[in-house]
Amino acid sequence: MQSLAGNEYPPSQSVEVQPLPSDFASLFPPPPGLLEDTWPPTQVTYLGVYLSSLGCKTLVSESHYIDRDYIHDMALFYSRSLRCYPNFCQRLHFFTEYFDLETWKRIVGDASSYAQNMQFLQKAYLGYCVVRPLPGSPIGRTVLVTFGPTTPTDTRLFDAVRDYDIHLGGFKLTIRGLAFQQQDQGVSACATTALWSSLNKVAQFEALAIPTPAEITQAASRYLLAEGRALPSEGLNTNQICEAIRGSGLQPLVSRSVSFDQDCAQLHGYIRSGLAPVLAIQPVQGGSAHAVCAVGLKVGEVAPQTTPTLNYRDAATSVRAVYIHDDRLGPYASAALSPWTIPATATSATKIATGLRIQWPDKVDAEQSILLAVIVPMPHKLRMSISRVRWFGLALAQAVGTMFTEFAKKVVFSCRYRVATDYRSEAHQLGLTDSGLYLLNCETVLSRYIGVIEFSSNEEPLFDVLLDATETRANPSILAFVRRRGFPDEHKTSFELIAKNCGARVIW
Amino acid sequence: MINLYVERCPMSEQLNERKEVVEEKAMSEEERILQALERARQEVKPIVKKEMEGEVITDELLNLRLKT
Repeated sequence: MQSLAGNEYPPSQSVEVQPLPSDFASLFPPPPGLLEDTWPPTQVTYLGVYLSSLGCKTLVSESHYIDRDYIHDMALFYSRSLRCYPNFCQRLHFFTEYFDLETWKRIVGDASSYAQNMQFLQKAYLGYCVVRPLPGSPIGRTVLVTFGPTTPTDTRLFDAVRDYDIHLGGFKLTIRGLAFQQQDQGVSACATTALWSSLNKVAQFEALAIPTPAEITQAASRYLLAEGRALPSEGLNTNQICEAIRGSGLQPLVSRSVSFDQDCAQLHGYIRSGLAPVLAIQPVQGGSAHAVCAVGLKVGEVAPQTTPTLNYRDAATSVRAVYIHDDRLGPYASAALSPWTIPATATSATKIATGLRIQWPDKVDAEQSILLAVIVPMPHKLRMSISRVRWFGLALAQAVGTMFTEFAKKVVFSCRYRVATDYRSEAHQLGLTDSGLYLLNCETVLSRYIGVIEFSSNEEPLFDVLLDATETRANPSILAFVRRRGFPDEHKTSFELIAKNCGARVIW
Repeated sequence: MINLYVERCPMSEQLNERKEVVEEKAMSEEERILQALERARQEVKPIVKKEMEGEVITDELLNLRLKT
């Protein structure tokens, strides 16, 4: 007789509601059999700690959820295993309010209070976690809210996140974060999952489809198979990551780590632009190199200028830590940045690298790594690197600090990319004259992506310089100087002359 | 003959209009600014050079395997 085990059709769905257990890992019982690693996985422990710190109180689980990323992994790899892997997952939703199953039923069933109930759920919603039916690596696509915007001493900036729409019980909820998942070591290793998180953000700029981990691994190993087999995935090299980025319709920009200051500048520029870079890091304890996805920054005060001949401050000196999606750990893990001395060897001199100190929830000692490279998936038309934007920024900031005594050693410059339409839509807040606003919004042609160098003093914006980010190195590319509230009227002529000498339009 | 090298920079028309405003006295101011910009460019050159080194990619980096 034909067995229908596991083939129930149509599939049934059940929703359970429960308080967040004090031991979150109890939701993930160890799979039967001898495991290579300890149980629970660090990612589960981390998730429990993270949810508690967000104030999670209630958990709603859906028993049957088709996850796009998992089902592609399933089609490519797991469907041909001996084990009968289901093609569906569970999904857990997290809320900051207490409610039970009865309340949930009332919320869903009360048609007259739909808008009110949706507002209640939206306010309390923290995000979701897809639980894959993979015994050793259950954490699938997970989107959670970030930490709050401030710490007692510093500010958190999560520019590389986006909005996700979630449908639960007939309600459409929105969450702002960036997707994370645990590597499964079948279809994806660290590089694939880091790149997958990164593309979740960057693909949105160009309205591209987000490749699944299976598609990323396939694209990476289509032409370049560095060593061994493509599946099970044993990691990717930088070349393969670049190939996967090209395969997704974007362009890879690779920046090698040169110095601590340069690395902070790169991270500041790309993350503040909303591009989530993949970081290649090397644990100092040894072992293989690793890939993580940078999502946000922890910033403090901008450092004062210490070089006597220089008259500006660099906003990139405010970077204290980078928030990363580390697939060995979890989403938004804090990696404190500091200079790290690499002792001299027989073949190389002493070098100051960028150290990343990552605190694990289940280890006393933090893990220390050094940054090797930053790999950024970039839209095709974003050709100008952040180093080149900074070239203009450094020179102009030095000139401004020299020419205007009130700004000497006080003027701060900060570089990033903006989508021109976003910049224009916020232009009414810049403090421009009526004619200036009209000139910017109706009579100035901007490239789709613009490099924006923001100049400020004592946290008061002075002016912006807009660059044509489609330009190459050889050609002049400053489009406009845009005056902001803090720039004094008495320097208008000088402002115009600086702009003229840079070949740029003045928007006052 | 069509001159392909006509200055099409958007700022040129505006700057021409402003010639009346920027009088002779301002010409010396313009020179001062030109010099300051050039001096600033030279002063930050070593920093820029160091930052641009990061864009030089080695084979070792391209072949670096990320697999932890």
